Amino acid sequence: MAKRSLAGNLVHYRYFYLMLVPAIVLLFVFNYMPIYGIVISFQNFKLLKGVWGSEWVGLTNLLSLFNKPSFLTALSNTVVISLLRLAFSFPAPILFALLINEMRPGRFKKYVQTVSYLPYFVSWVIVSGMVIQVLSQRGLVNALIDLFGGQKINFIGDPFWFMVVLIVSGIWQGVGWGSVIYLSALAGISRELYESAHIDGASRLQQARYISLPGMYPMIIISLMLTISNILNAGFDQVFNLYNPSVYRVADIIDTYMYRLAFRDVGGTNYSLATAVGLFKNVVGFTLLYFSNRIVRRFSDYSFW
Amino acid sequence: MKLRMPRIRPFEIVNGGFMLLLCFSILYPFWDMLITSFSSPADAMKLGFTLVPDWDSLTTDAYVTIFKEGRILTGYTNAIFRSVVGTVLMVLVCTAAAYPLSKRHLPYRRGILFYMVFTMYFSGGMIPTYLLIRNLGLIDSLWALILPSVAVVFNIILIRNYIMAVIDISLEEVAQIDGANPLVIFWKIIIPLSKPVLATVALWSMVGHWNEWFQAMLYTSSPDKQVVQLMLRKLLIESSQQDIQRFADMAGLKTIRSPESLKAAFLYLTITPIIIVYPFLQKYFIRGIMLGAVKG
Repeated sequence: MAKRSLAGNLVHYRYFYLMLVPAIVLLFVFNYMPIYGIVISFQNFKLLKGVWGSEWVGLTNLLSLFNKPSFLTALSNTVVISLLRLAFSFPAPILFALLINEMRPGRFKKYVQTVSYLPYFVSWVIVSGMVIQVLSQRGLVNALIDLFGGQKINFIGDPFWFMVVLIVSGIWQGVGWGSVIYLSALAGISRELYESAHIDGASRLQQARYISLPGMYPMIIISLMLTISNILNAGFDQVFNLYNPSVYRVADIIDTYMYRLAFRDVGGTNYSLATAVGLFKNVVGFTLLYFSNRIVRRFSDYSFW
Repeated sequence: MKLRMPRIRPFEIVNGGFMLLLCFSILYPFWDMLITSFSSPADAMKLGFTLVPDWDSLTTDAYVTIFKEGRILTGYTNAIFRSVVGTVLMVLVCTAAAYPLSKRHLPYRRGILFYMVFTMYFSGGMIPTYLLIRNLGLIDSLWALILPSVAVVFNIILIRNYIMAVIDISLEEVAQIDGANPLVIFWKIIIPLSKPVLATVALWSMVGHWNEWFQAMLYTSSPDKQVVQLMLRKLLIESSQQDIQRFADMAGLKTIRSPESLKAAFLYLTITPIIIVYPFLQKYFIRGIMLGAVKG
């Protein structure tokens, strides 16, 4: 086939390109134009003056963030919450998949799986509403504490307990659904492996440790990379629906801080500063993904690109 | 192969017990909310927790009050509009983009793919997107909730992988010989044959639209543009006294002594559509994950 010119290609494949036009245009408008919009983080942006009329201030906004105690608090809260999630929420679906895998096939197993996926399909507005009710002064948990003679706990208002609630409700919501990809990996492991291990006298625990777990490595590594590159995403939907001023000290994360900076008054709405926060988040996330991918690629066959 | 029935190990009992506890922890809040929603908004709620409700005291007052007040119907209409229109547009645009990208010989294919995939890793963020929506004049329009999520790159890739892996090219070639152009082939062959993957992404999109509240909070303000999920947030999370008082007025009550029952009833009115389609959701969502795992 002879090589065509650009125009020749466009004409010859016109129908195909025509079909691509809507997606390309929409992505340009709703994804690339906001990327261009990041320029306002280098300006002292005023809504009335617009991008063209606003004054340029270079890196002032980005640098001034690091002199703001409120930003530094939000940054450290975000990292702390993400690390707690890495320690507790990340392994939870892996463990859950292993436990599901140990169950006998049957109705009970199916039932457990069906129930465990349920919280994933309702919004954080609803999950938070239920969490607040169950943990309220007269909810189930405090009733149980009371029953056993303990002091009732203000779960949502106390900084320490709020963190516990954040992590536990995160696991509650995501553990079932998160296990699906691991279960699909487990389903791909040959039965013969388990059978020969059994014949060689390996216990069930050893089989889980030396067959099931390695079978999930590719998935684990990919999720780990995603989790690490999302370190500055501490779960906006969840935090925003659960937190309240009495726990801002530990619960205010970058995203909620950014939201209040732009849309609620934290010393005057400031679009430029809020955009600078977003840019910082984006650059860190992108960098972490890039490097974690390089590291993973060096040590294994599994990587994004 | 002989079916063997191994004896029950102690571990299995512990594991089974753990699973039961987990299921209880998930179902109890739903149950608790259901009972609360059927308690009377006029009476103060009983303290403590209840596994079995007092059947005689159950009442549908909270639901009646919500429908009498009537704004939930606006919320439903808007939510259905964005879910249905948003999903139909998304499926059409994404499939239309996926089909050409499944053609290995299409020139500039790699460039176009890069253009698309790049948006998965880098975005403008909350504020530039908000300002864009403003500049486009979409503030307080339901289109602001629809248009930004019509071209979903993840779905395009998923559909493309499906087309490449599953659809028989010879079928297309036969159509081509018959003189059909790619647009006709797209409509008559590609869309019908991609149904399984399209059902998956369509359900994803529907649930996503139904559950979405943040964009609605940022982009819409007037009462006739509210979606049900955001109304629920105002009532449930922000405990808007204004909303609660309006319900009281509608029900002819001086005060609502137990706003919990209204909140719970509103919550159930918001999730019922999801619960009804849940069995399908589960099946198609899982199928979607499996499709996604097949690397293209």
